[in-house]
Amino acid sequence: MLFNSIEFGIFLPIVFFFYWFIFSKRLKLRNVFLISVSYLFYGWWDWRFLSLIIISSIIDYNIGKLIEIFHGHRKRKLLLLLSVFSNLTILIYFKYANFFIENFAEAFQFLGMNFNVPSLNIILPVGISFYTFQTMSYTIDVYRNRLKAEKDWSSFFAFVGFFPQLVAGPIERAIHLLPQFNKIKKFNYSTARVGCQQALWGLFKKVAIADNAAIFVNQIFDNYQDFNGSTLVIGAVLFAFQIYGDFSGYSDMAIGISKVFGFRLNDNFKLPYFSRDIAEFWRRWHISLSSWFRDYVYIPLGGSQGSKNRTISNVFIIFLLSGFWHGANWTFIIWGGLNAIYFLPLLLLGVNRRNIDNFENILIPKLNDLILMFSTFCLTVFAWIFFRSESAESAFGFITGIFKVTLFSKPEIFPSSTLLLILFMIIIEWINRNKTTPLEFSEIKSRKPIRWSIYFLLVFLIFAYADSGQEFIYFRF
Amino acid sequence: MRRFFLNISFFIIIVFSVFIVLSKYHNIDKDSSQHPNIIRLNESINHQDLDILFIGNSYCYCAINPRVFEKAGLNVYNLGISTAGPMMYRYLLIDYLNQVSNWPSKIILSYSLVTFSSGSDNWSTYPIHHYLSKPISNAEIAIENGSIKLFFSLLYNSAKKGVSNLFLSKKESKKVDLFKGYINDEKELSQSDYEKSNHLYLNYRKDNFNEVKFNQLIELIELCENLGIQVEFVEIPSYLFDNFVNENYKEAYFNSKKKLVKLGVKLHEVSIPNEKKYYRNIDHMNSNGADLFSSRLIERINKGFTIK
Repeated sequence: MLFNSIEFGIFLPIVFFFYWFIFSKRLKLRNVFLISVSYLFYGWWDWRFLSLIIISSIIDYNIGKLIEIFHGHRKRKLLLLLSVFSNLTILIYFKYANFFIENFAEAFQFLGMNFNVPSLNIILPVGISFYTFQTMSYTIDVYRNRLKAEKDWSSFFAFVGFFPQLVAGPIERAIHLLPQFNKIKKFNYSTARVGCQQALWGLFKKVAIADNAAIFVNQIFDNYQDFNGSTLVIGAVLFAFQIYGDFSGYSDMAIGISKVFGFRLNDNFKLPYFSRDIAEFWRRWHISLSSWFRDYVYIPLGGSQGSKNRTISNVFIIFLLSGFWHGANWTFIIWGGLNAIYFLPLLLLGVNRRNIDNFENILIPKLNDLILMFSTFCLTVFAWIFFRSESAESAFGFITGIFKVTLFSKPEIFPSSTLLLILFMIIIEWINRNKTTPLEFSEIKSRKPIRWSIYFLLVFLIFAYADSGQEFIYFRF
Repeated sequence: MRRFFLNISFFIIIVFSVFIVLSKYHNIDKDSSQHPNIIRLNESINHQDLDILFIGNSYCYCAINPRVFEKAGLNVYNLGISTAGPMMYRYLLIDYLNQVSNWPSKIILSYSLVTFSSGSDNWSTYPIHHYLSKPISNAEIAIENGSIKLFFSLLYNSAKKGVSNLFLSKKESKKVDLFKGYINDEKELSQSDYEKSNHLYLNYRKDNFNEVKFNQLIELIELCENLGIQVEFVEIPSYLFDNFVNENYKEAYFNSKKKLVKLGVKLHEVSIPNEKKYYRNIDHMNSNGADLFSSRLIERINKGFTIK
């Protein structure tokens, strides 16, 4: 079920009631309850998906315990490989099998050989890319002795299946989230209030920004041949905000809802479109995924410690893998490759960690920073064209369409109200960039009517755009 | 916990209360509104003893010119409502029949590609259900559509309309020239108009033929038969709209016409030259088109028509 659905609106208060009033004081029972409601939440899409998450949980729970039991390096490594292999097999089969079959067929046909293999009728389980990475991080951390294997199956299963972050992240590290399932929680009003603020803000970004922008983005991208260059630019920019509103909105809802239940998840987005270079962008965008690839792929490959050629290949590997993680399509790989090309010069010149501040004590960024933000934004928007396009061919067609003389014509579509809402979102997020949530207006903390008026405005805007009903983009991953 | 629970509950209650209170005023402009749909609906009951009542969508109120029918000795009324589809047809028909003592000899419903699209029966944008003699609640519309999401959308729109009715000053709007529901417009589609507006139709390329709406139409036919009312259909051409619809949709639409004919229902397929001089925009006729279409429709109807 979607967070912005009526079913979830009924589901959440019931779960809240049972969680805090019936099960909160009994740890194991509480975890079992969380597992049950999480599986209900997940199974709402398709009950058959449950078997995969249960299998993944069983395998990694047992492997984690075995890794700890065995002291021999070889046996521990074999167990780790078994965990990684089983998780990747599930992921590759359900997500990439058809992609490989189709591409092999095309390659053989290109060589003049006939290769007729019917594509498999595989449904992609929602969130598979997220929970498989989450469970792999657990076994890897146990192997590395960074974490003790979890003995309580209910804590582990609850960690894997925790419904707020199950289907679209953030990808939580066991070292951070798993111990929270071994503690009795006490309801904290401030945390719950902040959680509600964050969830409301996330819902606003999803419904009023992302779903609203999606109407125009779909129209423009699906029929790019019919629009002039300036309209295509607007389409690409709108997509940048659609995906941000969609994904960061979901993350905010996941983090906010978790807070209401007493759990703390890691931040997943930190104003990525205010980045002054691509390296900073990747420290602010989908933080849980980029840090996962950094810690479990890039650093084990040697990171930037080896030769220049090694560094270059490592950077390409993680960005291409990151692209591929997003979907079984060459457009995602091209998107990843583009980001690698953007990132590499910064790394090789040693300036990838130049911009690490968070604009403390600044009302408006300096002109130099604004120019850097704008140019970084343009680079990311250009890459997003590939991310959004159905095929490489249509992406190139879209780009060709932009760079025509019609680039300077009046746009055929100019959704002023959507752009105003985006501006409103940017301003609020900028003003409260150093607060826990964008809705934490400490200046008016004691003035309830003003704060509630802002909440009411957001609710009004959510209702205004509620029936455009788009699926979360990252559910497809 | 208690404080949290009270705050959340209080907030939700306030939000819903405000929406519900405001939505009560969504149709207080029923008698003063200058919106063509509302005027058309209000005036319909002033026309009784009709030979034909036309019910349809915007194609209908653009294509059926009652003046042409009057010259042929037929008393008709054009109850075309924007985006009307099978569900709106039913509500409009029942509302009309409940208010007049002398029912029309014949009901003709408009039939076109757009009737079965996701764009038809757009209650959110055209909440005609609020302006019926016995207004239908948002909840009932949402239940009929099986969509609770629609309820919230309708509630919001009702609240918005309520605000507009209560607090915003009424702008002097241009009086709409309606003749028995028909809107006369001599404008001819230009190339620049086409280029400016064609993006509005692009979403239809991915649309699917809605079988549920077709079934609702069948149920409406059965209702009319039970009421002893003669019902027929007229297919209104839509110029360039065909270009925006995918082949699967067209195939399903074509099959639906065959099903209709198999049921013994008369479907008048009236064509006019597919030229822009007969159209005001991509899919709506102008007055030239309406005059020609109406006269050709009369010829077809008269072949099997008995005037009361």
